[in-house]
Amino acid sequence: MEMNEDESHQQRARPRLDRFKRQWHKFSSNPLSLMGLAVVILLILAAILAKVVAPHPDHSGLFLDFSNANQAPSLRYLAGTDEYGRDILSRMLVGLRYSLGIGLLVLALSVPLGVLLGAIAGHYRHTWVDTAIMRSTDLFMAIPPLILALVVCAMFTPGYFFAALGIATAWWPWYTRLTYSLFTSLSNELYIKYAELGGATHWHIILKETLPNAVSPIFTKMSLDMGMIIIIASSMSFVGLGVQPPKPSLGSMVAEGMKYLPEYWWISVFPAMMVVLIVLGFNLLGDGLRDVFAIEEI
Amino acid sequence: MQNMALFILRRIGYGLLVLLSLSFVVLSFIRLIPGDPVRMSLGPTASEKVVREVRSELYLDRPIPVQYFYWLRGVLRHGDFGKSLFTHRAVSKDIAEFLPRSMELAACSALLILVFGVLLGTLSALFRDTWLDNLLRFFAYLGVVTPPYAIAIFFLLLFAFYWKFFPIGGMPAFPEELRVTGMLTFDALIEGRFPLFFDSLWHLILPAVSLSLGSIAYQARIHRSSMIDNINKDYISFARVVGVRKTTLTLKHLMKPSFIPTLTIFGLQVAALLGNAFLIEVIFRYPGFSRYSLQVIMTKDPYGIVAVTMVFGIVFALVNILLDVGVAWLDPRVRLQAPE
Repeated sequence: MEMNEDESHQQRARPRLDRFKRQWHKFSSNPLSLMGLAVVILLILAAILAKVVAPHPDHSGLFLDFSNANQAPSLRYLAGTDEYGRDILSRMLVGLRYSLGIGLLVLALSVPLGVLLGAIAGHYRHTWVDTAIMRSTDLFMAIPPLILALVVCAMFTPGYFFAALGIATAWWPWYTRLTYSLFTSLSNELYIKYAELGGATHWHIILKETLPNAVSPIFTKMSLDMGMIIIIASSMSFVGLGVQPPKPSLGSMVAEGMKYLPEYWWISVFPAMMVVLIVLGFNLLGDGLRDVFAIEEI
Repeated sequence: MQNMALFILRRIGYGLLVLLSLSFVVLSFIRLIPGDPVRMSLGPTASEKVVREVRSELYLDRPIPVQYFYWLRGVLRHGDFGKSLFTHRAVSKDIAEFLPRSMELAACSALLILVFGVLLGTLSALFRDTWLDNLLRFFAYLGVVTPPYAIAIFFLLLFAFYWKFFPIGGMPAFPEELRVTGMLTFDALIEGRFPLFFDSLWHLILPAVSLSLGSIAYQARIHRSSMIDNINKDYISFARVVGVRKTTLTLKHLMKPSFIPTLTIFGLQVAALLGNAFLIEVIFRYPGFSRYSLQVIMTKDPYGIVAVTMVFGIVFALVNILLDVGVAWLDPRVRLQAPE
């Protein structure tokens, strides 16, 4: 995406806006990326407005209506009802809220920590700080993330926050590694050398010079990770280590529906398809971002 | 070659160091958090005296470093990983029973991933931008975004409930006299019990396919792009110009370098298999190690949890070492470097 010479001269007045326009042009030229963006925006809106758009908002909690239990999808219950006669669609919308929320919570817990440690280790390369930080990432990456998340979560009381904490425990090292490699490759840039020679403080170099140039790969990874995290979170709530009943979560809805296969297939199948839709949206969006920023290492 | 041996030794040494620290962290962590696993395991009716005895038998009443020392001594001396509060027997016995079953499942899945991932990726790359490529890429993307448990449920509905082609789960009983490796399918085969072999293979197919489908899709994507990268390289054009036969060109000049990223991803996928096997084993009621792990984790069984993390850590480390060695073998430019 290089511009030719005259174009860059004319547009130098507002470089940031122009760069954004150029990137948007590239992003929007791929229909799949646009689809991903649309899906993600729709899902976020649906999650925020869950209680408003849900046909039966009260079905998301403790609600019993045994006369309508296990109803097949119909006009009244678009995705059918579960064993307690609760509307699956309404519960999916509220479950979507928890799913997106847990994705954001995990990123909010792991990204700042991971990036900060990676930045420090990358800045103080080849010192004991580097060794200590990068070796401790090895410790947390020594077992599969889902297992580490389960172990951490199961130690505390099962629930929304501890599920997120568990996943975050397994997640931050990836951001440390990514930031570390970005800092390593950026450290030879001339503007960093100038800042060092000019007597800038370490914090200035880390936060003001290097980090801003490492932001786009980190954001792209966040978008690509959302899908993965939501899959892990729903797997955890599948085994009961997530949002606790009667609150709905997509994973536990799938698990509850397992008992009623194959007669009442809709109880499991629709929430599972919702997870697929979420992951699809975030992956398409992330792939689009990756193409725009031309990032190879993620 | 000497370089390689040194590299492997160093990596094993470093892996052991990581595992030792990890076991200490996990064991301390279990001790530090509130809750009494012994009381939980024995139930509210057990007398205080019995609870105290069990606690002392498991060194849970000692300071953490002392408890860790006893645990480590047991592991090093007799391969004894302590006693499980969940199954009420030695954890090493549990591992010996359940781990081979999961390895059997993982081996099946790994085979599927390698064969179909490479096959579909190659087809996609050779017929680039045709309808076949587009179709394969569509399914590959779908496979990547669908969680394994969702695939398992769709497959269960379709192939077990609707078409009744495969069993809905479980495994045939393991005749004790057969036990050699602990892998039912394998043991039945080498003992010549063919009906049992086919029966157990039949039960293995649906879980293995559900477990591997996402990875097959991802593997195919990686292999496709890696082959396309290489197709455009000069040395391929050169080989074509000087008249190297098309099959030789594809199989030797194109395939070998294309396997480098494929192999890296394959290792990561195999490691991911173990984690993903959790829900697959639960859904198909498969008597494997992942289901056992889940149960010990949920009951906060201290030695069970430590053993589970150790087993996964060992498998993870071995896969990674094998991976680095494999990549170094395929790519002569790679110089092996182990942490000091």
